[in-house]
Amino acid sequence: MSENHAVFEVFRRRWYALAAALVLVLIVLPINRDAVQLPAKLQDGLTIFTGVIVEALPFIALGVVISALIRRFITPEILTKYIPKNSLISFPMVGLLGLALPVCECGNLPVARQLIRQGMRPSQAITFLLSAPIINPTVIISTLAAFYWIPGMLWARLGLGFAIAVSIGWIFAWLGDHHLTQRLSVAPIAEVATGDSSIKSIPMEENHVHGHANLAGMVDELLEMVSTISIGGIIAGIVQVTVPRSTLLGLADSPVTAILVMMGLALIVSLCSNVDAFFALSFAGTFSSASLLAFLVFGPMIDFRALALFSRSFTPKVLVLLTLFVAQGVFIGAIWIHYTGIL
Amino acid sequence: MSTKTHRTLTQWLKEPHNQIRIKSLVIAGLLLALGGYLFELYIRGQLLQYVHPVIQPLVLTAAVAMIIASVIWIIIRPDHIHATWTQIAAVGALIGVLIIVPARPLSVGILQQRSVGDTVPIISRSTTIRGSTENFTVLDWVVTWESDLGQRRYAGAPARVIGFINRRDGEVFLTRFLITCCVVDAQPVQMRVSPVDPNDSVQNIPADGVWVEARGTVQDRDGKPVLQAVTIRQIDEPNPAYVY
Repeated sequence: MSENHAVFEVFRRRWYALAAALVLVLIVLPINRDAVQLPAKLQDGLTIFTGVIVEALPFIALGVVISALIRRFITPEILTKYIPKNSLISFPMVGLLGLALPVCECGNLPVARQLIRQGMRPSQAITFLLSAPIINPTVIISTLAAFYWIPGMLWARLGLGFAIAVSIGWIFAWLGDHHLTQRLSVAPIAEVATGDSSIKSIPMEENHVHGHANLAGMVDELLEMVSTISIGGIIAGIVQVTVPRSTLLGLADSPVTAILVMMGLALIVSLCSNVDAFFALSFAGTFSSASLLAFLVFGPMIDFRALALFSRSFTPKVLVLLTLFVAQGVFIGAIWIHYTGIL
Repeated sequence: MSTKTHRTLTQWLKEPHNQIRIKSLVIAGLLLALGGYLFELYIRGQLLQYVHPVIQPLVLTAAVAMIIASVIWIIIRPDHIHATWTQIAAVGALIGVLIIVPARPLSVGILQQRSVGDTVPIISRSTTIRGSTENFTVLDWVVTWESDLGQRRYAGAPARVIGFINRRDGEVFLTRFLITCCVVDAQPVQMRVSPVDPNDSVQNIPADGVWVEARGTVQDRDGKPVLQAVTIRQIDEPNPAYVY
């Protein structure tokens, strides 16, 4: 037997492979990273970048697991049965799905992608993506805990978020579903719920997944999400160490600019919607309630982290339109709420 | 000798099932490394440099899940892998960066990016305020001073406060960063400190960014707590460096 052949044989044996991987990790991990000295600004940027990744990973993993469960248990037929064809009813229904699938914005993209693969219309998935980070149990509790002393803040957040998510879903449905998505790597979009023949259906053998096919799907999804969230982390890290918040906040000298500034801040800080209410609370003394509301609605829908994740599934044109629609909706809604004195 | 044994490594690599085998092995290694990295952060007590203690169990669970998934992955060796080499390389690069980035708290230099005034979230912070005032953190003092009752009750109380030094508008502050969820949302919480001895100038206080333990009593000045420090002693950076 040649030497080369012996090497190949080693790779064929999975237990040797496992041992090799373990040895690799044991060699790499004990690096004394604390001895590494970096310039302060670079270190701060990398700390924020690492924070984004470390904080997002459990939620991405949860989203991937829920996505796998949907793949396993929710067939296109079930979706067709429970989601009405009538858009006037179906979009609001999808907008409330976050109550049953409580994942934040890091975890809901894998869920939305799987729902599209199982037959949900991409425009409905957009409604889900926008509403689920706001209309879910954790966010409701944290918003209530932080803003119990501003009557109506919770309902304004839920109401405005829901209205924007459903409206934008309707707009994209009207523009046409089949131009919205790209690169859904595991399986193409189903035509089941849409009835649109230009959308390819899922091969049934890929839809009926068990055991290792399911694990492979989960790991594929995890790798894709992790590689994408890195881009959001890099942007958040760079922006946070280069753009002083005091400069941004100094621009807020009127109700209108205060709302715009808080939306800009939401984009920059890219917080998880589960806790952003506590962050917003620190601005309560200096900013109007309507501008805090703008922060609480815009942030969960659009920020650097979410945009990076969305880019894996939606075309650049859709991302631009999505950002503009959400920004307009939040701005108009917050202005209206401010001048009508609801908050 | 058979043809099979004369294959070169290049030929072996060109065979599709071998490529899947290698890709599978690399993916298992990445999962193991990512899970191992998170687990190692926890073991070293460095996870709290990045996330709030409430998030820590979730990260730990994800780490264990990834390690288990990597082992299962190798055992069952899936033959349908959709991840591209580009994605694999991106995740590999990410892990490489994570592994070499020192787990250090945000520096004093980022204060000007983060500083938004003296306000801090009031809610849910009072739970930590109990026992001796010498155990109060900067956050505890600032939150206590938000209420008239707190000011009346604790004015003149002894204090032992840890923070890093920074100067603003001719005054010296003890500062900690407050984390609500993760380091991304870190906000400075500050408390003025002044030497109790009038002959001891603020110039003698250590430089900005130096961690100190200040002892003295806390007094009110314009509705804000001020630590009248008897001693200011340089200390090592605490772990975790944040307040939550």
